[in-house]
Amino acid sequence: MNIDPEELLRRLRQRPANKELRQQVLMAVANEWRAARQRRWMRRVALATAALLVFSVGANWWASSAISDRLARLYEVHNSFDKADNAKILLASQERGELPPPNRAAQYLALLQQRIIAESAFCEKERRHEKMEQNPSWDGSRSRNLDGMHSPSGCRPYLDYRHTA
Amino acid sequence: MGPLSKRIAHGDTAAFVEFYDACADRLHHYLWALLGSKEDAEDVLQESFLRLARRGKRLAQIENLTAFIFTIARNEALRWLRRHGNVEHPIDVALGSGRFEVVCGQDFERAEAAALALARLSPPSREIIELKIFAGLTFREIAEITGSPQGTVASQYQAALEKMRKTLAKDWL
Repeated sequence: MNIDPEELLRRLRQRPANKELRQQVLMAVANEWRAARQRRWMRRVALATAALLVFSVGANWWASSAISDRLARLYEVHNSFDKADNAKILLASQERGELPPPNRAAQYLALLQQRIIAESAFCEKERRHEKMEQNPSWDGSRSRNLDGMHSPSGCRPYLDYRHTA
Repeated sequence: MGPLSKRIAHGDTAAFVEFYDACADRLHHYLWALLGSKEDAEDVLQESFLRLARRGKRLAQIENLTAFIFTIARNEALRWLRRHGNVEHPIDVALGSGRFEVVCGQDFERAEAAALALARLSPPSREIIELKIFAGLTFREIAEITGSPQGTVASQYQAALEKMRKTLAKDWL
């Protein structure tokens, strides 16, 4: 008697899986793919936000350092000029036996301070209206004379300007 | 199956359905034989397909998707057995378990005798017979799934058939 177990087994018909199982599996896989797509999208948004943040910090630092450099240059030039010029005036007065001109150094100091204020105002254009409301007689672009001094009817040559809070 | 794996890797739902319909029944039957329970086989089958779907674009590198899903399913089944403890199934529930359908006109006694002889084999031999005859896989694919050399798989298969032949001859004589 020739027994072929392989042939006997092949005649056995396997019971198929449930149709409900098919729907269940396909739906689970579709949900998984949808969730994976969403995760990829959120990751891209997070990376873009981080890049934008780094860029804005860098841009802010660059802008701040540019303004600081400008003010430093302004202050440094006038300071040295003021000291040298004042020294020459005092020396010349002593040589001639004259009294030094009154308030020349103070006048130059006031001019320097006004120019710094004007530069700050220029850098903060959106806040110009606040400064003018606080001190309407002061107008950084109009009240200056040719020699750089403000007219007597305009801003007083000493610091009465107050920064807003 | 190369192009099918690439299509599934890119999220092609129709390709996934095609793949599911091609191997789900065979996979379900194999898991049922491993786990001894239809419900557990269904759970593990769903988890196996989900793990496949989660691989995403890495699926495009897989050459043989059928062998791959059987490997995932086998690992999942072994993990399930470790979690729930290996359960010994009685060997006299071969046809009664419902894994096989009885076809009209079929010699019921011979069919049941063959199923019983299969159940009497050791688990590794039974697994190879299941994968070769019922899942329709090649020796190379079975070797990839079980992690054994191809030659070992082939010789184990022949040895299992020989043992079944002797069991059947003894039962019928």
